[in-house]
Amino acid sequence: MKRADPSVRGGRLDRWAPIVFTAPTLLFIVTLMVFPFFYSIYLSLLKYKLTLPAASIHFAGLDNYRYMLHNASFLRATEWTFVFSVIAVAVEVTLGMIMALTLSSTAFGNRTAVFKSLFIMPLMLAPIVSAKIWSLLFQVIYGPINYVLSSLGAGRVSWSGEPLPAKLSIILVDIWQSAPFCMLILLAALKTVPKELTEAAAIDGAGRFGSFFKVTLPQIRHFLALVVSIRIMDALRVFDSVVALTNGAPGESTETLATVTYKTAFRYADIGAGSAGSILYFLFIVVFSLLAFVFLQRKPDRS
Amino acid sequence: MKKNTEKTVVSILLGLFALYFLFPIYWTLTTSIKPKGSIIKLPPEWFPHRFTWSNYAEVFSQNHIGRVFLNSLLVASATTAVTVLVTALGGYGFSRFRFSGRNLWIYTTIVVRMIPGLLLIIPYYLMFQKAGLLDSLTGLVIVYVTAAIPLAIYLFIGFYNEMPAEIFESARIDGCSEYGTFLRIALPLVVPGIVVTSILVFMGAWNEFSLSLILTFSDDKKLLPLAISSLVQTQKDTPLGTLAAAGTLAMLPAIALSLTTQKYIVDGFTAGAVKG
Repeated sequence: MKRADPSVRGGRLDRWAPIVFTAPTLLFIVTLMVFPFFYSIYLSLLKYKLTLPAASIHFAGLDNYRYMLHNASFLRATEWTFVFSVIAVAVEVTLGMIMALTLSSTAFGNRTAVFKSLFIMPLMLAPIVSAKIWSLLFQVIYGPINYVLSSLGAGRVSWSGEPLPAKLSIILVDIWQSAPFCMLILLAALKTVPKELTEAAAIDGAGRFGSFFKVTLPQIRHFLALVVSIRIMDALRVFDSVVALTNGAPGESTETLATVTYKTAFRYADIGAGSAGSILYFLFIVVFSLLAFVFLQRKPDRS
Repeated sequence: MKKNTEKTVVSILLGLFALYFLFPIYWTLTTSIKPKGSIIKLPPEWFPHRFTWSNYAEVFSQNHIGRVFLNSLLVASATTAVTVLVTALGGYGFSRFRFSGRNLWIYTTIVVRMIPGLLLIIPYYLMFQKAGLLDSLTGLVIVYVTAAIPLAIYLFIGFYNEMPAEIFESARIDGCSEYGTFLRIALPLVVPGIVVTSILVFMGAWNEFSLSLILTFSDDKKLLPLAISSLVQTQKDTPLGTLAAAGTLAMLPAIALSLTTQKYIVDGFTAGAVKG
């Protein structure tokens, strides 16, 4: 494709066109993303408490990093954030795949199309709102979930009072909100698989499941890698729904990297340690989502 | 025979998905119009028998919700307008011109998508404190625009890249300046892209929580998600009806958008993830 070289023709104003068009975007990116990012690295090297007078701020080297990496709350939150992300993303992508396959079935012709617009509703809701409306369902005494559980013979569950149910509720809400996103991307992915390939596999006697695992899945490998890494990036940031459902309770069992960092910086007013925590947290996100992407995108060995 | 098995499996699965994905929404809508007696009741009232608006009346009387709703509308609209203006220009600049540092800038805008909001909030807090932008809706619009730019620019570059370069070249030969080419040729063609981007940016700003939690504190600067999260909720005395009514109010725009502009939303989410 041929693109313009602005220096060749046009008036003096035209020569400035590339800058005029891109300057507003770059201004935002530089002043409110690139600069704060480096500012945050700088802050992470300071002893800096919001509650103490400015004169007490001084350079502290890597002390804040050492403090965070030896901080039991931070380490526990790291562990739970990883466990949460792996479980939630695995279920979301699997469920999204099953939903996409169901919706792309032609058994009912086009009549299932309406379900697609119904299922994307949770995707459009604010995470905080999703969590709040689920808290109506998780209500201990009058909530419909506990009612069903107790009429099935299981006892009432205190969804925000015990660690395991609290964790489970956060995972359930995340799946509810994000599986529709996986469904959308995977529906688009399924459309890219040529019909001839699956039909050929069916003729070869591969069967439904065989043709899915041997033909369809390898064909949409890149989409899968993409969905998983986007979702992992987001799941590692989980914040809103935790604040709304449990706010870290019971104890600190559901604190995530985001809530712990937030509390360090703003509740305990420790800007230095909070910044160090968020830099570590950023590194986790980059490493983990890149690993997921590379792992899923590699060519399967055909031996 | 085989066709029938597939029909059965598809129906069962769709039923299960509908139960999981739609029941919470149904439950919130119905709880919001139930009188107190029907909310606190066992067994739960699956279909509401009596209707009342009292939960909505309570939301409006207690929580400045009118003001909050207006704030959210204002901030989300302003964010959308500014973001679209900035990135419709920026996307064109990146797509049409080859200039030194172009690739570096494109990669930068994409990489910054990985920075967690919380990392930026601490510097924002200190910068806004100095600039007098703490606890102001203007401040929120500025950070929301920044948060929306990486995805929006990525979408716009994709939209412009799909247009054949020849149409721009012929406009130039016909004597259009670069700016005229953009206004007369590129802009009309990118309108569907503007719709897609606007919906995503609007929803993002409408739904945002953590930035507003830290950067605003007075009641008259609150946005909807923050107001909803601060509705009192204790184990003993949860205002379930009020919560449901407030939740319904917050859900309405999302539900309306997903039912009416489904095609654009699907395009937006798919392009946002897959393009490039």
